[in-house]
Amino acid sequence: MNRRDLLKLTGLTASSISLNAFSGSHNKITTPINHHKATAKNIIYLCQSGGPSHVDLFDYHPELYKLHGSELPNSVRNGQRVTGMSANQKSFPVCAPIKPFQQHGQTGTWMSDLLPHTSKIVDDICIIKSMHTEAINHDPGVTFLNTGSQFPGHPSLGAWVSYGLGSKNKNMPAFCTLISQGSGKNPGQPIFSRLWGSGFLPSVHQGVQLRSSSSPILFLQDPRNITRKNRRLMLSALKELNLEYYQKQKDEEALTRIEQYEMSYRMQKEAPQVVDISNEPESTFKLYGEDARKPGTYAFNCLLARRMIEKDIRMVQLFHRGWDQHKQLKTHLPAQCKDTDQASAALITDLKQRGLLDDTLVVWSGEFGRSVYSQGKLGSGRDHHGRCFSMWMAGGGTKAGMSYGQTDEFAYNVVDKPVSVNDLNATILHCLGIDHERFSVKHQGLDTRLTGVEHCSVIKDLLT
Amino acid sequence: MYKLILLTLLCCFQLSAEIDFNTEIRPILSEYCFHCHGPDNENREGKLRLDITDGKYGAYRNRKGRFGILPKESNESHVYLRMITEDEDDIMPPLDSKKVMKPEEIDIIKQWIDQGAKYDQHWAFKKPVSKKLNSTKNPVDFFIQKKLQELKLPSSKPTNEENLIRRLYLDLTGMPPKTSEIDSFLTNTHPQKYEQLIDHIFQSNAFAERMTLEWLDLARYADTNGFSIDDHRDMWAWRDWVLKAFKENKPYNEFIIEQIAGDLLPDPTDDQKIATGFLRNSMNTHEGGTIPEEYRVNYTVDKLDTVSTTFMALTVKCAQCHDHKYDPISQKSFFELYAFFNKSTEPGKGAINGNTKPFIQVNSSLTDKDKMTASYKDRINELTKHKEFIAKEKTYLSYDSKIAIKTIDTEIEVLQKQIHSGKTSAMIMDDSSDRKTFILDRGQYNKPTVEVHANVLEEIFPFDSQLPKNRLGLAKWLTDKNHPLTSRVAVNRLWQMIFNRGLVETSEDFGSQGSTPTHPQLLDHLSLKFTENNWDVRKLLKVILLSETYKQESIITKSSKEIDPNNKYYSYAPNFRLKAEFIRDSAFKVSGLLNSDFAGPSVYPPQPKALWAQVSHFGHKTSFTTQAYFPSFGKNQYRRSIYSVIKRTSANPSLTTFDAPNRETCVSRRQSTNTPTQALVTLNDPQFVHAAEVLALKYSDTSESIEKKLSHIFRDVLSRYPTKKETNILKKAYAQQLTFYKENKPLIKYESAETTALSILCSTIMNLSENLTRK
Repeated sequence: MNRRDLLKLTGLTASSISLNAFSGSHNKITTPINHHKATAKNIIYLCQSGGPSHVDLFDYHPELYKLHGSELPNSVRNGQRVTGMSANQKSFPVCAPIKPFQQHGQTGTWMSDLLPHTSKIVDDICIIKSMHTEAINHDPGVTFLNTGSQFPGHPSLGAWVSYGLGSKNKNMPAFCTLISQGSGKNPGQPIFSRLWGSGFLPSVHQGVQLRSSSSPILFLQDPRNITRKNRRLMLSALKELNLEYYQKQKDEEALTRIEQYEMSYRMQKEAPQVVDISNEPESTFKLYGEDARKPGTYAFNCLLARRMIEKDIRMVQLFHRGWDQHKQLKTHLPAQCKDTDQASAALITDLKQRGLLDDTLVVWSGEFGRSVYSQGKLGSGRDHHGRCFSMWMAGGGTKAGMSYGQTDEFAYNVVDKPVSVNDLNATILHCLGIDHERFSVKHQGLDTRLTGVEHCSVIKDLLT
Repeated sequence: MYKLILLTLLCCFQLSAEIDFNTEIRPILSEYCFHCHGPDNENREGKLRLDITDGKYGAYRNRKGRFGILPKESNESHVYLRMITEDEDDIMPPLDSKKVMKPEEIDIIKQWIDQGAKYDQHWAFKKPVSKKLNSTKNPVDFFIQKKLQELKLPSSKPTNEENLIRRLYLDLTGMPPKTSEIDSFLTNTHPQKYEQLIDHIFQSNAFAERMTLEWLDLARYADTNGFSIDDHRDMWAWRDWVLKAFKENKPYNEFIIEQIAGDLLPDPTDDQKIATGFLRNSMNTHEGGTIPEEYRVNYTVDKLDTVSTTFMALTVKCAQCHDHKYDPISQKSFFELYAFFNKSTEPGKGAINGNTKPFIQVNSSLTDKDKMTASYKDRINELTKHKEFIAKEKTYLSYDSKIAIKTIDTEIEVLQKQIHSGKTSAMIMDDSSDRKTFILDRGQYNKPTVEVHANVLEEIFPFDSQLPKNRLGLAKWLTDKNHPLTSRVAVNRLWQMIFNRGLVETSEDFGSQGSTPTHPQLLDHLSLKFTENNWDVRKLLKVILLSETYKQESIITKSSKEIDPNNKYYSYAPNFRLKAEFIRDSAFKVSGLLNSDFAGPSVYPPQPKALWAQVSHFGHKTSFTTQAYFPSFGKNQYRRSIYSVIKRTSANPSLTTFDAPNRETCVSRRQSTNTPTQALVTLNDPQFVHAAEVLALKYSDTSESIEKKLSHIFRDVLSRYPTKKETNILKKAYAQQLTFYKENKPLIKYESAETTALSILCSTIMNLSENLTRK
């Protein structure tokens, strides 16, 4: 052994950290990262893919109704780059929110009539109106939101969380994802497996996609002619033979493999229970809406998210497509809201009732917002807008009933308390007890972090 | 307490030997200091750089009476003093870096300074040197055994012949041998039979396929465009080119030259042009709002990243926005390299449903016009069958079935076009644009600053002024026998392929932040041999495969576990899990399902049909290709996995579970994990279930005893007969399954309870850790 090996033995390097009860011997560590006291143990991320309109939903500026149809002043656009879709547009007419806003809750938070259910939980959530992103198109935008980089190759937030905190449920993956298609723009912009991928982290940390069938995890179901009983017999023989091999070969991977096969057997039992909603009382469907009975809907997935949190799954991420209202804003946006409003609000209410909201951070966000100006004819639609957008969080140590940050009267530029995507991710990690600056792995010679190399900060004002 | 003993031990070590800068000091300086005191000119702090000794900023500099490092005087060396200071404002590395040096590391720095603070050029940038071996031993054994002797670790005895042939087949073809192949090897009495077998395998298609897989990861090969809508592209002709190169054992220098600059060779052949598709495997986009120049820059950066990682194992990409923090690569030199690739006419906005210019209409030399047509017609038949089936339904994947039918028609149309022209298409490189190259401020596409001209990394290896300053010159520079990196990097990756870890573990990074070689002399020796032997890949592999080191037993010994827990020094042959593709291919081979057709267009093995549609643009009124998955039927399902279609935005579920990369970026080294979802794949993926059943059916109607059958099956899969004890376990397990199916007759899948029970046993054997492992 040389000196350097000794060095390695005597101290743990950051890059040797990797843990997951749901993992193999290459991913071993004993304790989750705990840089400081976590305020959230779990996270539910409701990713609204396509770019929901902050102008129409959250970021209330009454002046806009008066300015409807007038030209957006050049001083507001200020040479900002726009997408190739509206770059050649001659005129940029301001388009007022398509529905009125009202004040709600004790906090008097303004919210669009398009979100009647979310309006009822304004006192429980923390709305950030000063989000901004560099990206102006979907692929880079949604990749940035989910991986901290506009370009492929980086682990997703969920993979980082799994890597840093591991799984609390020995029988289920630490990171599960669910996909739904909205009725606004159908099909919505494509999404990509890199959004829940493990990038350069071990593949065990990638999001396991749950499906709404009796075999919710791919290949979970035994072949039709195999029952639990003879599967058990088979696995016992497998174990005996693997042990025999281990005795001879002394390769500990064989022991790990025995464990993994046993875990897969337990997962076969546990995962279907998660998706089996037959025991949910009527009140559940009153709360989440009738859609929650239909597998594959956003509402159904919200209900599954709650069920998974009850099963101690570390991170559940929903991807809901269809928020890309370039056209048909007036019909498509209400449709998207109808798909998601009740169930999103129900999830918060439900978690709260069950005492789970304290420990669970819920994040609702798209990859960017939408332009205050019309794309095409006045009122027809809105283009992408990264200079500012709105999102909300709830639970897990965030301040309830808060509104953070401010944009100008055109909901165009952030004028106070900007929050970048990296700031948001730093804050999410902070809630989970992780200091984003100390949470890195060596990749291609660099200590690579979810939050990138540029300076970013935890937004402490958002936290209790 | 344990730590204390180790520390004491450490000190004893330290008194005894001179500290080696490259293996012991550079990694520490790189980790803690270079970020602010390294090659990056822009962000340097305190007018001090610790990567060099001399000059105004060099480590030995004296500024205002303070030395950075004063050799032999650690107490005068502020580098050291700042490490041990108690002052929070002064301590290095600074607190806000959140990096804390370990006492042992500081101690080594001190000792190194007191010994004279000798620097040395980074090992990977020095020309390899060869010492004459005063031995007739295989050079691999010479160096490996020397190190083992130093460590007082015995090497292991040779593995038995059955395991040796299995290992060889797994390493060289990705699949185990057939029992007939084992038998003829065991009964062969020729003294050179092992070497003959190696040569025999080298000639096989399976070997070329296996070698190609490694290359596809580096070249980020895929069948789709990657970003956004992620429709299809045609690059299988390039994959054919790689297969052919390995089939013909093309010298590695030519292999490089053609892929980087085939189009610039005198009177280039179609094949040489196709080769440049290596650079064109970059992802591209036609997303609506894309600003083309932004993406064109991205594609070019990706080419540069791929070339520098693949051929030089350098993380050049880091210098896109600023000078490299650790290695001698300035932002200027990044854009000088970038300039080599910046004259292509490739646009930023990619084509829809196919290849983006520049491309050529060609025939692949492995898949001629007739073969291609037959293969496309096959696919059209498959698609037509899907169409007929879908036409009977009202909806398909929650859209009107008319949409699915239109989508299929689009797929068919793309194929028909190629059938009509008799040619496929391949994206290639050209230098037809007269675009100038500028340094981009912070790497941003719209912030050009100073103009630069194409140039290589002269700090690492000078450019021969006779060479043209274009991609051909770059390729020739890379393949100069004296280039310090190219040969080492290639040899290291071939070593990694055989031993699952390179002599340099970070096969993608030979820079200052990468790992240092475990056997530097061996690496140098093999690298020099490689170039001397005209870059002959097979010759190099053969030296490794003929070594005693390779042929050792793989049983993990107690002494090695204590002294060398990760087996970095090879006191036994490594055990490691097979690659994703090989696990599937092996299942097909042992069951007899394998379709060993060589080369050609990609195929569509079964996978759940909703996976693509769920994330894609399927359902849109404009039909795009590769948005919904229509699986192949018949024998196309059983092609080797390198031919399975790769859609970048929807990773193949079975393969990705076993760590196959999604081919978005260049990957030089895969992970090798061991997870419960992997168990689900090999137990329940219908492809694996089917393979187990087919294997069982082979033994359904013989009059053999069950013991014999099990023994044969065991050997089919694992290349050896079971031991007595294993036989007993198998027999007991079979009896249990048989009883179960006799008691549950409706569950019998094939004609008898016996065969069904046997298929469970086949699956059991195929799921054994031993079967998933190369040992």
